[in-house]
Amino acid sequence: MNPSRQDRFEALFAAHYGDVHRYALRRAEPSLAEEVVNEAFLVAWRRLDHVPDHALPWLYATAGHVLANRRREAQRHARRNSAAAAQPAQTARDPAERLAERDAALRAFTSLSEPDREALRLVAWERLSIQDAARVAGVTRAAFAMRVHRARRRLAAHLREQDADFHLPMEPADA
Amino acid sequence: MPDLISHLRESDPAASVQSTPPDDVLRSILATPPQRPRRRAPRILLAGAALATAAVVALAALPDTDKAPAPIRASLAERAFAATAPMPDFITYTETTTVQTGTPRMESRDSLRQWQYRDRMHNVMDITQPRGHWVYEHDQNGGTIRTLVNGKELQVTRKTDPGWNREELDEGFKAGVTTLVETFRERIRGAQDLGETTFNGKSAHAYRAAPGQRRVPPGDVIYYVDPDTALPLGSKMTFGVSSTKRDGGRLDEGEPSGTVTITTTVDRYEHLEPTPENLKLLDAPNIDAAER
Repeated sequence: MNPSRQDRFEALFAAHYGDVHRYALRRAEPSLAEEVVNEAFLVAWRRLDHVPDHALPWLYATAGHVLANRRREAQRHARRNSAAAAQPAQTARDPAERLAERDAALRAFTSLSEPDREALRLVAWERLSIQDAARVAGVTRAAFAMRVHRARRRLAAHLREQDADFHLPMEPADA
Repeated sequence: MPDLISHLRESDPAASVQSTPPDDVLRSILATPPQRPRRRAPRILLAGAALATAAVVALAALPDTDKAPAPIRASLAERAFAATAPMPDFITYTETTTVQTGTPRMESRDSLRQWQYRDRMHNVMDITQPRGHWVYEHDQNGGTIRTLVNGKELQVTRKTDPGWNREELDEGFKAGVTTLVETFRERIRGAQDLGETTFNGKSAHAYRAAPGQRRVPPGDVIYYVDPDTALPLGSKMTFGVSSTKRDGGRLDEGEPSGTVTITTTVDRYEHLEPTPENLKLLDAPNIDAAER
């Protein structure tokens, strides 16, 4: 075993396990979230040479792909067994929906499309810069900035429908 | 007035979660070889590749050497094999229409226009279902697939992205540049001869795909071949569906609820010279614009 390789991974694991776990919990049920974070770090271990020094966006992107794999497996299972596969399963799994009944912001959030939600999750909850969030989403910085801008506008519109009052300043991260 | 993002932060469903990195997980990971071993058989397809695969699968018939072909079928099947020889130096253009009927929730009408050339693929798929209407545009170029949904939402997948099931990813990329007729060609010679019939108002020869072969979807799949040109006219697939019972987080199969029929018609299939003008058909300016 190469000690420096193991040391680097252990440091990565200690520093970011919680971040990636919370990332997964914002997108999946707790049991699935735990599997996702563990598998994401397994991928990181196997591909440690590819993990950049600024590792968090890479880890988020990896966890996102693992989660997408798991959901497609579940959809395939449903498709094999039922016509219900025609129903979109992904949004029903958003943990925000469980809490939305008692929170106006989450009610507005859950009424957005999944791409809008993901853009806002990365910026608001993962607290990534536009540059890093674009890296996670696999698009250019400009494309992601536009995506966030539009998602914020749509979120504000939904909040206004609920008589909430919000303005739309650009955050430092948007600049 | 609270800021929108700050307000959303206060609603973070995981904000209060304090995760301690679990030692047992760390030990388990460190005990695995650093190099990634082969994983179980991949089944997941990328969105873009899935479209291409759907078109390919819809026309697939598999060889079965145990069943000797009848003279007339052998003749047509061999002609089909010869008529669909790969033409890698040309751009392959395919236009298909797929209609799915049987259960109201699964009704769908899809049209596909697809250009394929070497490691590039560009297609536009228009989908109409009771739940709505979608336009998917895909652009595959080497190791990157870009998907544009309804002209707005862009997804980019690269072969180098971490976390994907590697075999699945490779299969998806391969499917994107495998032409529909190439797959038809490798499978038509072993299918069961069902004789003369009509398909979409045209004279056709029907074949049933051999069961239990790779890539053949569950259910009964019939393929229709033009007896004059020996090219595929289309396919019809039927399979039963069942309701679903949810038991906690698990989905179980319920009672049979109907039969679904998927009919795919090949509206156009041709090879184009790779002239500069034709090569532009492989470009995806809408996706380029969305990415900018």
